[in-house]
Amino acid sequence: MSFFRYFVRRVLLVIPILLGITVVAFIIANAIPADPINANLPPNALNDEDTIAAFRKKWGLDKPLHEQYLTYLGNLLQGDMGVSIKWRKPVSEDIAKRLPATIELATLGIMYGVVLGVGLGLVSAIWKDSWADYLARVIALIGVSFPVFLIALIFLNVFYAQLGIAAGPGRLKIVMRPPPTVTGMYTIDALLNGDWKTFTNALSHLILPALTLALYISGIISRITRSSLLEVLNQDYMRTARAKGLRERYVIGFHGMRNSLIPVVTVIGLSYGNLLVGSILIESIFAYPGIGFYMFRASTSQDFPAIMGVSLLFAFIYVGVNFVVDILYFFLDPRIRVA
Amino acid sequence: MSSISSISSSTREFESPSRAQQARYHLRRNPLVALGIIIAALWILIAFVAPAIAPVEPLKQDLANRLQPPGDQFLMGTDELGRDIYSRVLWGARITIPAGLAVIVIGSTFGVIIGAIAGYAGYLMDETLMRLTELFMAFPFIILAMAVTAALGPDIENAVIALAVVWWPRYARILRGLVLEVKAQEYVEAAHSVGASGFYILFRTITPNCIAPAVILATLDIGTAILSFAALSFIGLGPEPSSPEWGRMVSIGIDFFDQWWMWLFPGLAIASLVMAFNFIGDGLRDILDPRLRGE
Repeated sequence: MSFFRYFVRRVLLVIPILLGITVVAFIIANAIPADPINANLPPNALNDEDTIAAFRKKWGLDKPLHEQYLTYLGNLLQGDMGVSIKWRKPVSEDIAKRLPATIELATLGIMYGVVLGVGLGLVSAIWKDSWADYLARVIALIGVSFPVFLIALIFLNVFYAQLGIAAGPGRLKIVMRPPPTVTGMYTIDALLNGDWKTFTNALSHLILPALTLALYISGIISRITRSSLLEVLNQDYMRTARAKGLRERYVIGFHGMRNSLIPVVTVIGLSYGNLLVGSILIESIFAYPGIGFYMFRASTSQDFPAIMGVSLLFAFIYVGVNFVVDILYFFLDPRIRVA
Repeated sequence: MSSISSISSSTREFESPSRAQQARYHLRRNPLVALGIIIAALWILIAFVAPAIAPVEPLKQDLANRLQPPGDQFLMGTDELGRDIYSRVLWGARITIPAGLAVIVIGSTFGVIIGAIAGYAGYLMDETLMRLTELFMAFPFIILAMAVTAALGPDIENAVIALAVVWWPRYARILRGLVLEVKAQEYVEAAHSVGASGFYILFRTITPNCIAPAVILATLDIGTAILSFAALSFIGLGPEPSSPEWGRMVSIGIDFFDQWWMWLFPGLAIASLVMAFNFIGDGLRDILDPRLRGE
């Protein structure tokens, strides 16, 4: 199968999923609350007939349900996710402002997480039943069993409050000014501005929350890497590779890793969902002003439009990441290319 | 005669081990499973006897003793209202354990029913139910649970319902696959031929023969359900702030970061319980799927 055909087929599969997500979001937003007006408008607006009438008209609440959905979809396509009750601003505007911070954190988190998870899984599988294997498995177990907010609090307490070797909450030291906005990601913007001091400070503020995220997702990644590699290590072709006289490093690195990668890549894609959830819990503890912190504050103040907006965004990102994973399969699994 | 008795005694030697013997063998090979069972059983016992063993009522305030560190008088210290953290942690088991189990029971039961109907009915019903399942799986499940809880209103019951709403699809998919396999068996054909109703065949003949993998998955899932419930509580979509629910206690403890006992002990309670269920789940998986042992 050509890459183009494979790609087009995947795109066609994603479209109904995206539409389906909007249907689910619409049902939650409009069918579950006893009264969507109560759920979506601030308490002081509930006495104002004009505001209520404008809200009804905008979201088509006086029309049949299928027309309401089309109105909802139309508004969504124009980037309209409603107005936040807490911040009194359009949700899409708030999201756009905070998204770069979360992308910056999540990117570093997934990088650390993959390195840590795959590394631990490799060590664990290659030196099975050794002390290194047990240590790696204990770290993985902590990652999957400890609530991420507890890991974040312990890290912050030990490395920031007690030892003073890591930067504390926020994105930058309070006395520092953010770099001029280009991407919204402080590390990149500081580099573009040639401001080394701001870059190092922004990076130091990212390390602790990114490491927490990494530990959180590395547990599942290392477990899958270990079991997948252990299965591959027992295959006949691995014995053949050794019998040919290939070096162990080459046997594991080329034959072993490559063949055990598919489940690992799948789980990395799936753990992106965990990463998004983790960002809500971690950003709230590190007072890191990204989408996660926004969602946390929206949840604690029952800001329904903001919660729905972030949920929808996270679902789209999740589908997008899994789409990329699907595309990666084409390059990782030769069986797809010959199918 | 003696030769016959020697044959029968040697046959006994090769008799397959009893279930108790098998369980003892697996527990010896997987000591962490035994540890997991002990910790989980201890927490369940605590949940039952908390009112009797907790030194004070979990909501009782003692402002004269607020923010006391752990010591002889208060084993795990006190919170901002002088409430005894130790008593609250013990009482918290009565909320978290039933909530986690309820999520699994409701979610898996619903998933089993949907999967069984999809697999048995086939055609349009199967397509519709499976596409619906995929839709729910397209969301990161906690995010969907957050949205549902926000729509229903935050409290314990709604958090459990919201998690159950997002929990069922995995069970539905597994059951569907198993039902498709089992419904082609001869004994199902036999049930058809004696005129049994579709409902009877599905829920009395087919489903009982497919239920074991769903039960195993449910055991593996308990830890995740407890973590998810704690996460919802942590962000304020669970019980009310005064509740001794562990996730909520950690959340309130953030505002008193230096008083580490306020967030550490409830956090460790969650971690120990989840770890116990993960030990049990891992052991169960190792026993039932030897490939994952890598042997």
